[in-house]
Amino acid sequence: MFNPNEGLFTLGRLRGEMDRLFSDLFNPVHRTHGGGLWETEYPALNVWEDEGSFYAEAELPGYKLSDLEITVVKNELTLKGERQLPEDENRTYHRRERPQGAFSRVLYLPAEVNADKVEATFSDGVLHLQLPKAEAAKPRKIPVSCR
Amino acid sequence: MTTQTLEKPASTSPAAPERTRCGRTYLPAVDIYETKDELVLLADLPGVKAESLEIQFEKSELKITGNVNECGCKGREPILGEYAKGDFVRSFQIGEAIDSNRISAELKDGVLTLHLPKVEAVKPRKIAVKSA
Repeated sequence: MFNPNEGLFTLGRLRGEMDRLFSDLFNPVHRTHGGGLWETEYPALNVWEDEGSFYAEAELPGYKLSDLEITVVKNELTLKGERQLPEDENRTYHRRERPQGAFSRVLYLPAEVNADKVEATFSDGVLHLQLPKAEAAKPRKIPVSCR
Repeated sequence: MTTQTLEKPASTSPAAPERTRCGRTYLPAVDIYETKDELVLLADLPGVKAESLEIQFEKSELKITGNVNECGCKGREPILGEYAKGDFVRSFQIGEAIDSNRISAELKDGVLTLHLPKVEAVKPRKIAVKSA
């Protein structure tokens, strides 16, 4: 029996795949793979929303807010940064897994964002972003009048 | 050349201790390098605070446990989830002789820097030769 809920790609996931494809083409990511841990986009993002805002989180240990460049245009969030790990010829590395290099990532949010009100905080190596939705994008109650 | 495979009988291998905290654990990415005086371990532990970090060094086994709090995202609808949060646990067998009294650790911006100074006797020493 054919189940309409089963599909190889849900619409959202297909959009995500296409976004990843295009963002990799137009924003090449240069990073050195340590142990092949970073097979997907770097950094990994978690995004939530409520009525008024989007919230994004990314794990970026060892970065400072000044190493990062965050830009917002309409519904497009661009995250760029660079981390260089110090080299020293007195060191002999036994293991090198931590990623280093420059990264650049574009995320397309489902609605436009008020770029002036975006807040970014950094605590314990986790970047927290609060992106308030643009007024036009917020849901509005439509009053129904009877005639 | 003959090769022998030794099989460890299942009954003699000890059961690994289990954690009492629930949830998945993750292996943090780690850099380990050696200088002539010490071993240095750098671990990426995003979201871990100094009071939630536990480092144990016993019989040449180093164990790092970092606990992460659940996010305060109640009332929010998830729209993208590329990573999951969980505690970080990783153990290492350290081959060098380490002076455990002088181990120092620093946690900053989610990165742990662990200094494991080598025991004095293990450091390479130049032996002065006196000509008689």
